[in-house]
Amino acid sequence: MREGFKTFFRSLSAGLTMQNPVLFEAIGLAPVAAMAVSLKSAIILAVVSCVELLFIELFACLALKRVKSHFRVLLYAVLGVLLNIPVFLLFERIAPNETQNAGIFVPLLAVNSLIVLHCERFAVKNTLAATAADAVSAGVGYAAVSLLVGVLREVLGSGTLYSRDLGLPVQLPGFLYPFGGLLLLGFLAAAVQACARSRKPDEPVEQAFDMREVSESHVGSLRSLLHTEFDPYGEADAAQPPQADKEKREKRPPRADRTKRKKPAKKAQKPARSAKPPEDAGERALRRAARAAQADYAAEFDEILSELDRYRETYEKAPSETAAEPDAPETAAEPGAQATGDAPEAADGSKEKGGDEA
Amino acid sequence: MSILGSLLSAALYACLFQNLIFSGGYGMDEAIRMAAKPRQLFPLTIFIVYFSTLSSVVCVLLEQIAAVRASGVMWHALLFVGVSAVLYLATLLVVRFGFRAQPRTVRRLGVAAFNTLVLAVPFINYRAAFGVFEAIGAGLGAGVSFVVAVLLTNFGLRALAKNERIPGAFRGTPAAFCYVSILALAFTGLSGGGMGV
Repeated sequence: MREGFKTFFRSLSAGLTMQNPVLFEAIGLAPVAAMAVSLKSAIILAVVSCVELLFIELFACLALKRVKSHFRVLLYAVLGVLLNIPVFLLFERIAPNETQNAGIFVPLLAVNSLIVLHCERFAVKNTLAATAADAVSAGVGYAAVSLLVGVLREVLGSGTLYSRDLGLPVQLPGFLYPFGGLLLLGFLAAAVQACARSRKPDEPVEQAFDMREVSESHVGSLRSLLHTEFDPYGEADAAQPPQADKEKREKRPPRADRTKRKKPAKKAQKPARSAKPPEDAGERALRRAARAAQADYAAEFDEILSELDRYRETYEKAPSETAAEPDAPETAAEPGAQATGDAPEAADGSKEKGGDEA
Repeated sequence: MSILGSLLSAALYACLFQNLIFSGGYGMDEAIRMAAKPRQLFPLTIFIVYFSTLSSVVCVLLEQIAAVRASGVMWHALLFVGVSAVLYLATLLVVRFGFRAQPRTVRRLGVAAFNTLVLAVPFINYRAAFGVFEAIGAGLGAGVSFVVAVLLTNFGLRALAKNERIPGAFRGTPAAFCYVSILALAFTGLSGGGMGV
């Protein structure tokens, strides 16, 4: 029993604050913004809404669970207008002027989205006790906001409270228009949100709608429909199985996140572009040494070529001498070998090469 | 020419000068919620235009009966809801069994048929004593005003979602309300009403 009461009070406090149907779920805005311009009209709005919500939600829980949803929507509207008639006639007797001032908004409460959404989300899926608790918490939350907005708008806009003049020096009739009501709702929601954040700063605040979805524009969807999703011959399906496509779409983060992740992704791609394994310092040193050795071999080869040229010159200058003295090349080769300071191997090599070339 | 004139003037009146959503507050919650999920905008708008125009015309025709004209506001409400219900059932039959529409489309049909915007149009016709062509104009204007409201709200909400400088307390629904209130102020200015400030 105590647990039941605790749960009920928790849902009641949630309905008044962070799960308020008007402030955070944006439900039933039209009557609050347009009709709640004075305390009396706010009382009418609060009473009619609470009565309708409670009765229709309980009826939906008891009798409409097996009815299909598209017929339920119709029944909510008809039930709403049928409930409205006695309440409207009662108020017409108690407060005729205020009921007349409320205009067409009292009959329009029959199709208030507060009723439809709470019945469809909660009443047809839960027990009678839970539905009653939900109806009371949502109704009290809606009534509280309507009364508060009504009082503020009457005081600020007309300078009166319950039709009694307060003698305020300044009046702001702009608050009596729908935009004034919306502005007040915005500031009330911000105040409640600030209180909730100061109490529990780490807890994420629930919102009426996911702001990430807002970033998806209708223009974007139209563009994607025209350029990417339009596939009359099923070529995309043939290239890629539909299951894989679905998985890809599921894995893909929402657009807002995608734009945030763009930069790190680019940085991550940079090393992949080179397609080379990373080198360490040892490998780099080895490569440098090999390059130095190659340069040495090239220098050696140049020296050998220049020596060969010198031999050729000596042979051309004195062919007769070489014919008379067969040992002369050996003697002539010696100073060249000494001059270069190379080992005799180099001289031998040059001899072999020179012979080949000749 | 006069028929076209009355149709256009009623449509412009409902769409711009007395924008039903921003200046009147009708269907505001549907517009804000739709602005957050704009992908469903075009099918829902088509259904809203269909229901508002058709119910508006049928109700104006019924107003020609003297007994109906003499009845009070609540009886008119009963009549208008009855007309909307009959239209909804007929459309549901056609869409569900004729076109074999998906359950998602059928759900949209329910949202479009029973909301404050669609039900407000016959009331406005009744109060302004509109004729048939003006009723058609008012119905079309209601649909166009819904599109205008959703597009403007969506553009603003996208800018708000990107804005990092909004104080923590105002992030989300409070900022959306403030933005829509500024839009409503602009449309109230178009209607020419003085604020008395």
